[in-house]
Amino acid sequence: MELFLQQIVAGVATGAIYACVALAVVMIYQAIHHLNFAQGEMAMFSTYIAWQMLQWGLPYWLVFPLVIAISFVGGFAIERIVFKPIENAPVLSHIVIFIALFAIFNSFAGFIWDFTIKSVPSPFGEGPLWAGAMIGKHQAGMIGVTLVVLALLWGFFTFTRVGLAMRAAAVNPESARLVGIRVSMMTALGWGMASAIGAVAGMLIAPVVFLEPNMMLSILLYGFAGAVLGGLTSPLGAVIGGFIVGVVENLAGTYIPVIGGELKLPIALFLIVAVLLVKPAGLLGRRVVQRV
Amino acid sequence: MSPILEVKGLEASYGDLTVLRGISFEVEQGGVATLLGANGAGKTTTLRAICGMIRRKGEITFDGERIDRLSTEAIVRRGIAHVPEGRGTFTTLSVEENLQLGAMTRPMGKDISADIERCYHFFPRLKERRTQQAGTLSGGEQQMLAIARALMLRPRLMLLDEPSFGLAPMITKQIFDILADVKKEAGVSMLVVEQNASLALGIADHAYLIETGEIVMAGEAQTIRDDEGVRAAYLGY
Repeated sequence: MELFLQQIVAGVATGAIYACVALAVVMIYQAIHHLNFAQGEMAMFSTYIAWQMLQWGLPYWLVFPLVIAISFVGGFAIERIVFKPIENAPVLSHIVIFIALFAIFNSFAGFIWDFTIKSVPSPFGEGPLWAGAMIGKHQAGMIGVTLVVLALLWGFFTFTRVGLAMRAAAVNPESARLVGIRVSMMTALGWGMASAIGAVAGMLIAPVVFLEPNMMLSILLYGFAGAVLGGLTSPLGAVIGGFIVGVVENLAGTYIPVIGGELKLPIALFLIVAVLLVKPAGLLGRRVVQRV
Repeated sequence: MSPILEVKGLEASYGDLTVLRGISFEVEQGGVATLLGANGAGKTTTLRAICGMIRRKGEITFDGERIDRLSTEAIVRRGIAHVPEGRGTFTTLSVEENLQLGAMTRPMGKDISADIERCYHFFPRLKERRTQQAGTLSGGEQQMLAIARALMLRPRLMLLDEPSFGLAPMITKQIFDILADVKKEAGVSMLVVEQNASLALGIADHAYLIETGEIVMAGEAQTIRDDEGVRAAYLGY
């Protein structure tokens, strides 16, 4: 029983990582109706920028918002510079660019900061939350930040005009234009926000997995699984999905002997396939109801 | 008084297919004009061309300003509301959110809630369904929502594409009655595209008959209604 509880708590802690990445995935999916394969690499690059600033001696809580802002501008700029010109190109062209971005960010991170593993400090401190607690300070902080991001997103989409405009542009771009919304600006905003959320995820993850150019490879896959499980259209679903993926991964690794530590990754893939087969809209995804 | 909308020599094509071959017409300030014609005559294309949703050539003047080079968003901001064919509501958003979106280009403030109330006055059915997803409304209710959303812009000109599309005759009549009220109470100019000629002629001051991308007849609604040829071809009596 003790072991079981421990594994669940550990699962929730890893789940917080996936939840945060899943949020970024949902954000970009809302904006462009695709998954951005380079999302993880963009987050990794943001984390390197944070590391660099910390190396220069800037205080963590200055670096944190600064990197979020830089990542927002970066994501926004990528949309404007790279994707705006191929707005009407077929999906495959976009996918090729996702892959290109993936390679560019990955190589540049290695080129600028080399491939050696770097450690990033946790802003929440080391050690367990309290003496004998099953959950560490950093894990608890990570869960907290994820929930704050979720709440901010919810507030943004529910109560602000821009949030409403972004949702409208996602549902029906043509009608959005007819009410005067600049749809392509909304897409760029979505890119910026996804990039900023990715930066948050990267900075929270780095103290756990260490910083190196490939750190997001498998995490993006888990985050993607979380987003699919939660329903690609729902930020709350993405967070719940991320936590579930974390817990399932841990329990399966512990109790199914065949899986062990090495075969954990396929669990994410298995979850994706299972969700798509059984409940394609995910846990909280919106099934579009349409009367004609 | 000068017309609110003046279209001169409008041409448009989809790829190699020319749909509009230089049509000209106008809508008077506070007046209602209708474009009549069969399927595929170019009615919808005309509206889309005015709104800048497709490439077009020719002169389009709105309230003295050339708008044929502007983007759709910029045209909307000048006070032209387009109610597209098939309604184009935001299906996963609530009725009230749809209405708020209609006022997206206006400064935020109390008038917006007042205008939402005014829309509910024109369309009481929408008030009952204010929190419902727009996609769950019936066809008639969606058409009402599309018109109400257009009104939220406080438009000076409304472009209506087949308001009777797919609706039962009773509902269609209701919608045209409301449009007549809107014309009277709010003084909005309208350009209505319809296949149902007798309905459209009922509220229009001027009518244009369009056939394969050309205007073949133009005049007062009354004159067009009395024309033998139009009667036989479009009104069926």
